[in-house]
Amino acid sequence: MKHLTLKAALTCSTLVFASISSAATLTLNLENIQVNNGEIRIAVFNSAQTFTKKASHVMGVASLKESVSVTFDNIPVGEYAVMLFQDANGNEDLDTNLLGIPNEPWGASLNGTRVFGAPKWADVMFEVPEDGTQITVSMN
Amino acid sequence: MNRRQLLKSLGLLGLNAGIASNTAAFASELVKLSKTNAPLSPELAFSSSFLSIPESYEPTRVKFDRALPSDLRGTLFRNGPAKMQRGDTQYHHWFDGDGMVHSFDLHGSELVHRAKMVQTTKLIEEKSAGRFLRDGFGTHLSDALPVLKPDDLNVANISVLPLGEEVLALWEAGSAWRLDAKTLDTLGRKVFSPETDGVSFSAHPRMDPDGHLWNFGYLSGAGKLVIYDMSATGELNRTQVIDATHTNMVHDFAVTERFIVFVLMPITFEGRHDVSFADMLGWDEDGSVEILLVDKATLNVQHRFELPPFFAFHFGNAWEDGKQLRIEVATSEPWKEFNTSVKNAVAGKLPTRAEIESRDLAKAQEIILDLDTKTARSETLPFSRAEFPSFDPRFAGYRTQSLSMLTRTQDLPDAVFGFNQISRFDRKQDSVANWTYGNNFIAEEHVFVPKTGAKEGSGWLVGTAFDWENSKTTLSVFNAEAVQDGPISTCNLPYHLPLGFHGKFVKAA
Ligand SMILES: [Fe+2]
Repeated sequence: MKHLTLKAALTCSTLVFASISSAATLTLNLENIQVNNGEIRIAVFNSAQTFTKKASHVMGVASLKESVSVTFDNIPVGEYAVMLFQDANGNEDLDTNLLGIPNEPWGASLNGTRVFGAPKWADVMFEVPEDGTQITVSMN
Repeated sequence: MNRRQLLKSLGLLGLNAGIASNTAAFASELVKLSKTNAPLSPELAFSSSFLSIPESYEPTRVKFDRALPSDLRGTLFRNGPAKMQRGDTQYHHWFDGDGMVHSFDLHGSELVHRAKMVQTTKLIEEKSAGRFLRDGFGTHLSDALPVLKPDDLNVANISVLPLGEEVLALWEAGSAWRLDAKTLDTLGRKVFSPETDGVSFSAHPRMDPDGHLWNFGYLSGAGKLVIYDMSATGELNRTQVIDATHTNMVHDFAVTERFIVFVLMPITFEGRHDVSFADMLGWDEDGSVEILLVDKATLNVQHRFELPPFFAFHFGNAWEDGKQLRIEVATSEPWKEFNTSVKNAVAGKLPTRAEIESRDLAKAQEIILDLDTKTARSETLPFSRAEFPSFDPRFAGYRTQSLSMLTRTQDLPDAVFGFNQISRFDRKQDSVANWTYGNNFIAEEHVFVPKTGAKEGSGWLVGTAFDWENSKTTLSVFNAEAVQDGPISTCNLPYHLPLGFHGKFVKAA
């Protein structure tokens, strides 16, 4: 299991402003949240090349309930992947152990895909069509 | 439970569409037997130990046939896979089953046995779901939940580490689980420190005579070993991460006076979604065994050696001898053959000719490292078809004269998976003493318990054995120096236990 690139993926804070040429909406339904245990930090990636390196969109959301929905409006039609973690100790970082395995809850747009360790682009990629889409992510 | 009752409990095998064909074959064989009441076929011996296992064994007091030596008072803790089936889901590999920890309190002329399942996160989730939700080590479930961290698969089923009021249930690739040593109730997942939270704490920690407890952890594919340096009571002193090749599966290690010894085998790893973890592991035919000597003082690698490839799970003792360092190794059959054999044994299938022949490769050797010339060689130790080494733990890291192992006799039917004999090698006399359980027994690990104040090798071997013809488990005590005389005391439990892995004996204060 390689988790070594995961930390980079989940803590990526580089925001690339998307062009506003189309107006699709991406809705994320987050489930299995540990309530009142820090901010959930979400990173959206828009290509295999930038996956885990450079997010196209980022968002933070409070952990007030076990589940919450967030939306990203006005995002270009295309391929995306979502990685997120819960910053339980508020240090703006995904804490990992000595082997790079996350010690804070995390999740990804797996959509039922089985993974063994840190997911690859193909495991988490989904399409956002013109009429938008909804993705459910269960926190680990 | 007698065998007739046991066979009636076939319902536990889940005769339904969800199970794989080899299990169905096993089940139908047992159905046939339950009708004819014929003797249990030897190929079913191993897997029949997993039938009719309760969720817990309540404290049960049982007499030994002869009084125990007065110095042999204390508790044998043992761990092993117990839950191989849940609802319509079935595991196919011995290593898969959820762990159950046993304690046998020995005193006077009786013992009290009890056992409980380790309440891992996995077990609790699956209990409420009524089925396995996670892959086993060697079983791939097509609809299994994703594995986001190694502890998702943690079944805490390999060994134990008694630490005062607690006993840890150990797995290889994940966290240890804390149990109450008296009640065996699960207290929670063991976290030694924030940096080691979720780092594996493998199943064969070693205590040296200086009172240091050593262990390691790893993550398949990461190319690293994490070393734990602990006090005898389990407080973490130091950790160190070292880079190493061949860290895709590392089961055991050794310590000497100055070194931590890793013998790393050329097992390959390819992360995949569609097969079990066992099937992600392969064998590099062209690879070699790499031996690392890590300096206990600095925790840095000080020496490296290479040897032609062999596969082993377990090591006996290791010690420095002038400019040489010796490591006792329980060499196994090759990884792939071992894996196939285990799955066949669990499925109740007859072993193939190739599997039977590969058993001869399970023997013992001694690796001799020359620290001056940087060369490594190996010599054969006089055990054949052997596993589960045991030695006097007071001398861990220092020369020991005797090494005990389980072996299998030539006349044990090939169809039986496992061992039926206790063997003890004495270096001084250069001879091996044997005592054989009947061919209706599969012996489990026998641990060495030292006699207080006595010389090295003086003590008892204490272990369990499964009588598969009568579905009963027996605990036997041997005088370690006269194994050939047979048990000095025996206790027949009124039931049988699932065949497990490792144990530790804690002498009463
Ligand atoms: Fe082991």
